[in-house]
Amino acid sequence: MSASLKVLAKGPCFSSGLFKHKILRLVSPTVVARSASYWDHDWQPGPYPRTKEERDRAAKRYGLLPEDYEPFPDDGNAPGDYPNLPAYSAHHRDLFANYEHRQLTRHYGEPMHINAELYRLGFVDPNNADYWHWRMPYWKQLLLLVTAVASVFGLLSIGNRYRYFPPVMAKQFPYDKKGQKHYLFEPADE
Amino acid sequence: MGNIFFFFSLFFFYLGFSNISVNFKVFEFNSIFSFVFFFDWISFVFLGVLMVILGSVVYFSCYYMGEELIRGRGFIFVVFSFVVAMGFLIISGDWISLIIGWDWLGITSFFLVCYYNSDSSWSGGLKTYFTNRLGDGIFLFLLSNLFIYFIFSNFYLGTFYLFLIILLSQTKSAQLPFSSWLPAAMAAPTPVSALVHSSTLVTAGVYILIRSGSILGGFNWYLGGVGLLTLFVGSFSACGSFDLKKIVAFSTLSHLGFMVMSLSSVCVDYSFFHLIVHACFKALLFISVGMLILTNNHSQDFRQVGFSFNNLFFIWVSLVSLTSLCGFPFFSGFFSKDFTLEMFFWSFNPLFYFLFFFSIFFSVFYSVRLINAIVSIQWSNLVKEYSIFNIFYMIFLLLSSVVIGVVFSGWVNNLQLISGNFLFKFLVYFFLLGGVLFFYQHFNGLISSSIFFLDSLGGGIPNNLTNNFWLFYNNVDQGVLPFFSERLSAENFMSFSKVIQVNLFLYFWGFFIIFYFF
Repeated sequence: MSASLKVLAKGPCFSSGLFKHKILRLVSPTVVARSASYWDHDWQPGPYPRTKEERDRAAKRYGLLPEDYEPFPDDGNAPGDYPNLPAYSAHHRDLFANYEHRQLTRHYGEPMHINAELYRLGFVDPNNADYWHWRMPYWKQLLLLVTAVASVFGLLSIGNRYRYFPPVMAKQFPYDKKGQKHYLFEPADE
Repeated sequence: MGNIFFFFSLFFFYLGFSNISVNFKVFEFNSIFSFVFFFDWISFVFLGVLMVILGSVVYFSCYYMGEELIRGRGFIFVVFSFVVAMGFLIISGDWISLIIGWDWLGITSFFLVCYYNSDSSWSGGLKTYFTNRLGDGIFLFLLSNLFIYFIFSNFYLGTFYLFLIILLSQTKSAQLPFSSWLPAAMAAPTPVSALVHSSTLVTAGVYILIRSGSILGGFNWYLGGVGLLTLFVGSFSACGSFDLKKIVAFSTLSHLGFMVMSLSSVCVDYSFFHLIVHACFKALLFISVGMLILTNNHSQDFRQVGFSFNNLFFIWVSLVSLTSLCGFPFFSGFFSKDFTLEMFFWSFNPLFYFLFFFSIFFSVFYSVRLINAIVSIQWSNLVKEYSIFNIFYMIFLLLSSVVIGVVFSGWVNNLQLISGNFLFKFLVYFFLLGGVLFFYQHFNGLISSSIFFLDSLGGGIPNNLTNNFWLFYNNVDQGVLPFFSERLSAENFMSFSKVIQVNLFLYFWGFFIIFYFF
């Protein structure tokens, strides 16, 4: 076996999954990729917990009570002992509390969902379908907008027929215009 | 560092007081394609005011964003680029130079809004840029047909092209069908808002309508209606907002509607007068709101702000700018607003006055609401670390928001003082007083802050377009209503892609037409 496959064989996740998945992982090619982000082997989830002690250890590692800890189902795709937390958007938490990580609405040591970057503030809300239908439908919004604007213009045009002109004097010119006598603005004689 | 801009402004005002009018042709190609600068008293006065506001914003941004040492240099560069673009637009006398300034403004304003790398900045920048792009598409179409005419001539361009020019100014100046970008663009840093969204970017559309004022005759009804609607919608929505900067954004929207409305009257110089006056007091309001946001540790929530009475100067500054905004007698806002109103006294249209007076009422309502928040005793925060060098520019803006009305009112052409009925003249002040008194009643759930659903219809761009989990940002002005922001769903994503498609279509269509005609 090559060096990369040896690492795979020794890694903790090799023990998980059905027999066919283990064989597939042996024969599948290894793809090398460089990442710009940083990752530590300490962050690798442990192997899938089989015994009660392993479950308690995993629960303590992720900051959960043992009765709350529930790993993903063991169908070969489970991320080791990472807990299967309920997904909810960060908007459901108190936004104005004094978090240690303000942008993540999270304190230090709190368990993070495996897709936590998806459920951040301003990102996906997995429960959107529960209340998306509370919004006014788009056609109705458009209808209200068009009605408002059109009614304002319509009422303005109706109002144009009933304009009120405040009484004003005829404009004065300093010369004689069309036979009308105006003030001529000439100095008085003597 | 920013002092030189105040000297430039003096220089421009001096030139502006001399009655010159210069057409400076930069180059000409084939005797039809020309590039012209036009120096008029309007250009010089606007440039002078722009320099005053730029100097103030440079000092204010050093104070407000002083912690951003590394990215601050690029920020100032983009701000200067924006101001050069605006100067280009102000002195342009021809369509070609105008489109260069116009597009340059759109691009730099996009970068300025996107300065903080957050989701709301990105979506706000996109909303700004796409609405501006729509105008650019129209502009390219116009350019392909009209490049042989000067923009400031009395040459009647035909109804269709005139309507397109008005539509063009509507996209830039956030008039009613296209006003969803202005509240979204408040994701920009506060100094950017003080420069861009109070006086320069949003007034570019009004400016080209002022320049082509002599040919706008047939569309008075349309300008008046659109301006009135924007005025009403802006002041109404400001009464329902809880975000400091959104309140000021809606106030800007209503004043832009007022400027467009005043274009529909006989005298176009009053619109320019209000443009200048509004620039001064709105920049001052943005700066004082920025100080409030600083005391609140960059939160823009309006329910937790207040200056302590040790900061009496800031309280005074906010109060003066807000009273000038309302049009309180003998401040600057009074001169521009009331003289414009008198131009409408020749003939009364009932609904027009109904909506106009209610807009004044709402503007007073939100101003009193802001004053109530600023002078509240419950939340009193202290701005501690400042010196006279951090705030002396506010004195210039303060003086201008009080004095510029008196100075310029005697100098704007076509000044016609109309002495009419006592009732008509003093109706405005009854509404001022009523707005103040109405504030102290208690209503629940009466007023909403969505501008006729335009924010969900016209800007269906979701806030989740970045996918970099490790983007952390320090001094971010966080919006306060994330619960009401757009969130990802399949329909939103599809509409976003449609928005991109439509805009690309317009852009390439314009280019195609240019190349076809050339």
